[in-house]
Amino acid sequence: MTDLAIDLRGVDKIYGSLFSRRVHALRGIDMRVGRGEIFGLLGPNGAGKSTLVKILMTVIKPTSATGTVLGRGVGHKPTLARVGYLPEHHRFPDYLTGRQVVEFYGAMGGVERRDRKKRGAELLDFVGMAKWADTRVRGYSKGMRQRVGIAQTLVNNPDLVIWDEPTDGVDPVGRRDIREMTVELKRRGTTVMLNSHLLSELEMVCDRVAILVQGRVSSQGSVAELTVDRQRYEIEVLAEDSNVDTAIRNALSRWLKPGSLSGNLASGETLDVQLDGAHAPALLKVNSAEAGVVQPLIDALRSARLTVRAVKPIRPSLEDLFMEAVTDPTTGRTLAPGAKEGI
Amino acid sequence: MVLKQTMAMLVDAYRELNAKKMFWITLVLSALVVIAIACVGINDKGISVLWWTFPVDVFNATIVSPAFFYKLIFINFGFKIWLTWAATILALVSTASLIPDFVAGGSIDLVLSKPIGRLRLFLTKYATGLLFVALQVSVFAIASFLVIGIRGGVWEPKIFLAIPLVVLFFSFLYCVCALIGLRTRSTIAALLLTMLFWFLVFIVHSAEQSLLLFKLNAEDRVLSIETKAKPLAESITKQQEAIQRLSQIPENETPEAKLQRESELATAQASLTGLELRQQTSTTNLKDYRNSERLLGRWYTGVFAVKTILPKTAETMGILENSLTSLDEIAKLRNAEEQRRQERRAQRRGNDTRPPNRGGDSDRDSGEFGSAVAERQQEIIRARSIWWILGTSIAFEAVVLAIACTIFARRDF
Repeated sequence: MTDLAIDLRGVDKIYGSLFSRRVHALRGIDMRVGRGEIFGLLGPNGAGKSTLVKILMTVIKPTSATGTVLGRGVGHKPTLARVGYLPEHHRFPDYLTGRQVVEFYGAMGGVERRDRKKRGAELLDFVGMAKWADTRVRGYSKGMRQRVGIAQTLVNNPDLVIWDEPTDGVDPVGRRDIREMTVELKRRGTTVMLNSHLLSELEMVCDRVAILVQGRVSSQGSVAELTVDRQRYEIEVLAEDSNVDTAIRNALSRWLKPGSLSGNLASGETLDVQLDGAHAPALLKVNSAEAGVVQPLIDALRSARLTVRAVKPIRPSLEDLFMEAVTDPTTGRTLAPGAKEGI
Repeated sequence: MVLKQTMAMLVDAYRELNAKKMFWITLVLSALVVIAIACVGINDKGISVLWWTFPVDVFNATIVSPAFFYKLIFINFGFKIWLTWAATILALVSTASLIPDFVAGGSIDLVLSKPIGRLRLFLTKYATGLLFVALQVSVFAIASFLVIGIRGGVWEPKIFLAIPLVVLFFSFLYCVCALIGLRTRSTIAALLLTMLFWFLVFIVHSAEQSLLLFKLNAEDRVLSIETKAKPLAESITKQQEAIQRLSQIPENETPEAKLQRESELATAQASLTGLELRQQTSTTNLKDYRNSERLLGRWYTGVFAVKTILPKTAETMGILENSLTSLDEIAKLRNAEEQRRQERRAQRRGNDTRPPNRGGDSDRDSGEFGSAVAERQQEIIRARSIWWILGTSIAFEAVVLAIACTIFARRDF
């Protein structure tokens, strides 16, 4: 058995036909999700996240795709009995109660009557909906629907769970609960794939992420792996008098290029100095995650009798990664939402 | 797993119907229809409603048995009017939203992501749409069975044929509703276009029946003229021979004999002129009727071909009527009506002081003639096989469903 829950290669999707507008939504997606990990799928609107998830769930047919889901080819229907799926804008029949929703989708997933009764009750308790289990869905708030939605994804005791925007419309308490559920599922060995815009939420729970931009995987890996090249140290120096700029230039003269506020350390890391005026603290940025690299700088500053207010290791957030991915490097502007038209 | 999923969808469909007020409203209305029919009775004098009796000459227990009376009422009011019109419209209103709601975004994703093939999913959902009518007609058929049994004194199990027939009848319309609902995802569009389609079927059916009647009428006219043409030709020949004979002046003809001969000759010539005029009119009429016959035949063939493709809603319900009522019983009722009509005609003639004329005969001929043609039309319609009626209708449904299944199986939701 492969150790990958999802292994996709060259997934392509073109919407439209010869007689209508064609949109190339996915352009050769390669993606791997390990078993038992929490995987985050990020991307701006129209990047192709939901299309990719729908292809996995056979809601949409790919133009071309190879790869596996839980060891079977993409589109293999019986495998879906081992998958739980919560669509983004799900709509449950409003004449059903929460319990009936869980049991109905359990039955559609092939769960035995006795098991779905038992598991239905347990899951509604797990998502905090036991009290409202016999109330019709039409009387639920958005958050309650999300909780019932999550419960129905788990009724078949799945090996893989795919949640599309699970915290959409959920209050902070609900978000925390969902986060805890996600971690609990991972603890039980279930693979969880999350598709969300709430980057901070994902950052807290995801082992690995993939960022989709205009139908392509822009980057993929753990947050640490993706940010290792972007980690840095920042040193704040107090501006106690008007001569601080000169003092800093003098103290760092051996590393700064003549007449410039940037330079390189001996080990090659870049150094940038930001001077914001007489009373604002000066900021030194060192492109390294190693604490040892910044020690000579601190020594030099201290020798020049400058006051070091803070030394902070800076790790880019998922949001920084995301923003970098959705920014056009040539224009510096964020890319327009939506997939690219044409093929 | 197949059974579990199918059962789950059926139970879900029941819950959905249960949640719709229209289901219960229709059921209550069905109960009222049955109660209303049960309140009507037949006795020796005529028809009774509760404790009032309305004398009817041709419709009383001496002519029509109570069992036949109740069957007729259930067929003509219960099934033909209530179930196949009013209840069907209510059923369409109730079920038109099933497919559009099913394929709505956020709803379809949940079921498509389950281990069930698209084809089976769509067909099961379609079948659950028929559940509405199946439940309604089952309740109605049971109630009808009891009323005919208790009030009519005959326990008629054939009444339960109504269940598959009405469900089939509804399915002919519902397949169109499902296809439009799937294509447009709009309940209103599905409902209105299905109604329009039903109207089209009705128009084609009415046109076919009318054209058949006109065609038979023209055929009978042609036959009638052709039948009368030979004696007319013989009469003309006789008159011509008579004129020829009378034109020859015999030797030693007396003045009285001459006068007599000339008088006979004039009469014969006048008669010949009349006969020739009739023959001329007859020839012109024959030509016109033959043209009409050909034209109507062509139109009828075209409309019949269209009808063959379309579902036969009226004939489907006709199967129930044919199986519940025998031709003997209908003939008995018709004879009673005919007898009554003749009595009335005789009574009218008794009161009329004017002498009978050709017009009167013509009216009578025309009435008998029309009645014979109508009977032939009914014979032709009744002679149509169940396999033609149901087979072509089911074939239509199968084609529509095949298109819908193809769309459903190929569409990205």
